[in-house]
Amino acid sequence: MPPKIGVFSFTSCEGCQLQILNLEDEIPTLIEQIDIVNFREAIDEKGQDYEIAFIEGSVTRESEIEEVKRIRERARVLIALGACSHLGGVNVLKNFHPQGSWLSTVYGRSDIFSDTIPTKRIKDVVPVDLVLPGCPIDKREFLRFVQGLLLNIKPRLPDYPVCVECRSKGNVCLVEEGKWCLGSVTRAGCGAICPTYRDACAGCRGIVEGSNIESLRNILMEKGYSKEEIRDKFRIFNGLEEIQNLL
Amino acid sequence: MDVTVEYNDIDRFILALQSRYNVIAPVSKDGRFIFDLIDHPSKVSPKYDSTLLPPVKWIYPNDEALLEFDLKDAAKIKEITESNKQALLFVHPCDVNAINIMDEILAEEPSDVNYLKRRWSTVIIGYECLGPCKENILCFDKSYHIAYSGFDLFFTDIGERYYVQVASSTGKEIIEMIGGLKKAGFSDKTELFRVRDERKMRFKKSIHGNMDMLSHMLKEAYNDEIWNIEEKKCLSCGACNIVCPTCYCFDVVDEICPDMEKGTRYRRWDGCQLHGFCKVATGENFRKTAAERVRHRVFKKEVYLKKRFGRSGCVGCGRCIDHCIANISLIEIFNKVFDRVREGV
Repeated sequence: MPPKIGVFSFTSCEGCQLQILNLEDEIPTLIEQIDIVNFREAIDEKGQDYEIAFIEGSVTRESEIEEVKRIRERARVLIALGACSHLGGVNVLKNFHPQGSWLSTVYGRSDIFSDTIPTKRIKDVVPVDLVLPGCPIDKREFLRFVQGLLLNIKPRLPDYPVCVECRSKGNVCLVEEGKWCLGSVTRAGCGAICPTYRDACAGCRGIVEGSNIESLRNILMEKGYSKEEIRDKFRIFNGLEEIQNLL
Repeated sequence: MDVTVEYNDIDRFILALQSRYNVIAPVSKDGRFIFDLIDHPSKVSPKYDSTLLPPVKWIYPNDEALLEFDLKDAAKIKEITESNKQALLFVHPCDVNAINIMDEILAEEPSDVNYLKRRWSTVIIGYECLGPCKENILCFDKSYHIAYSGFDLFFTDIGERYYVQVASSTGKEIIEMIGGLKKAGFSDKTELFRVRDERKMRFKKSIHGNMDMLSHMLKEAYNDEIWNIEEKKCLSCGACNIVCPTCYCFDVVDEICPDMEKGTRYRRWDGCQLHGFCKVATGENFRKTAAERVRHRVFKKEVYLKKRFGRSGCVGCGRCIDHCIANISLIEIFNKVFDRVREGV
């Protein structure tokens, strides 16, 4: 019996779901091996019987908390899909502004109804079994995760920073050029796609184990970035991570 | 028999080389240089300082396929060894020496079949350094600024023309294939000796200590606090390993086809400076701290490889210094080691 899989979406741009659908060449073979019962961006069916749940998006409304809990109860394996789900994503930026200011900033008035709350990661609401990081996720990594589940092998994420992939490609280092980049403390697996296109790594795959945040902060300060600027760069994706005291 | 190649004849030389080999040469990239497959001689920059990645990576590529396997039948394993006829053009002496070191390491039993097969199909054409290419080099301290072997042809700029030393039968074949090149005469040789003689005036030593004693001095400094100082800076990002021309550690990764029937095993460059490098299956980490890891990198090159092969495993190209954004420098470490041991700390 192919395992039943559900893909669920909370506060996000839904780009990670789209990345799954971007596996155009692999999907015909893939759906022979898995049974997708719930995947709003791809199918009409809204099955509630699934073993494996991928959750995209962060929790930013009171009502989402119950929905996430319901999915957790039903799923044997719960996987956080993408940066919003894993780290809170860019949605966390609102947490650094006064709670009352969000609605008036976005809608021009604050008296409209909304149950908006400070952004939470999925792991802040329910236990998460596995994380598939990235903004957006890497579609090949999604494929490896599904294959791992089918083979009963725990999928392995790279445990080294983006620099390894970036240097391996023979890229010119942005920090060497005096620019900011968080690649040296961020988990690899993206193929260093941003720095390869000469754009800074903003840390969407989360902080890698064994990283030296203080050293990177000192390096960036030597390059002329202020403490606040550096903190803001880390907040793009890692505002809820336990590194704030190091910045 | 050595020959000379006029400056304005170099394009013809490269074009002819391309007819038989994939030519990998220094080309500019975002203000730096890198060894890359060239499509036209005009792309080649013979005068370059250093390259982002060393040329040896074309013999030891990242994500190289090692074997194909069958998930349904474990006995069905197909070994993969690939090699293209390639010519590494204008390789500096430090990098020629680095390839010599890699040859020695990887030919040791059990030999690295994938590396050796690529190595055998690789032609190496050296390019003499008549002065330091940049700051942050230790090649002169280590006498690796000169290459005595490990190349098929070797270019030296003697003004208006290159002196080309023909050092192997393959090199001789290439020269014959290109044809029309002048034999090096007495005046060319005199000029070669003259520019080589001037070379030693241009290089400066970076280390104030006897390099023959370095291995011994490092052992004395094994428990020194300098490693803890480096730890504060080290990002454990592995850049120094990736850009090193004598780092050869790799990890193995499997990729499975979507049909879940077949897969391919690859090797991926790894590095001893990475936090997870010494982590084993049960979770223990044998070099938990960056201090231990930085010390290991230095000891690997200067103590362990030296013990095995009788010479330093670091050719002094300085890439690890140039590309360390935390400013960890072997030059600084070696000088500190000499200072501290001298001071009797």
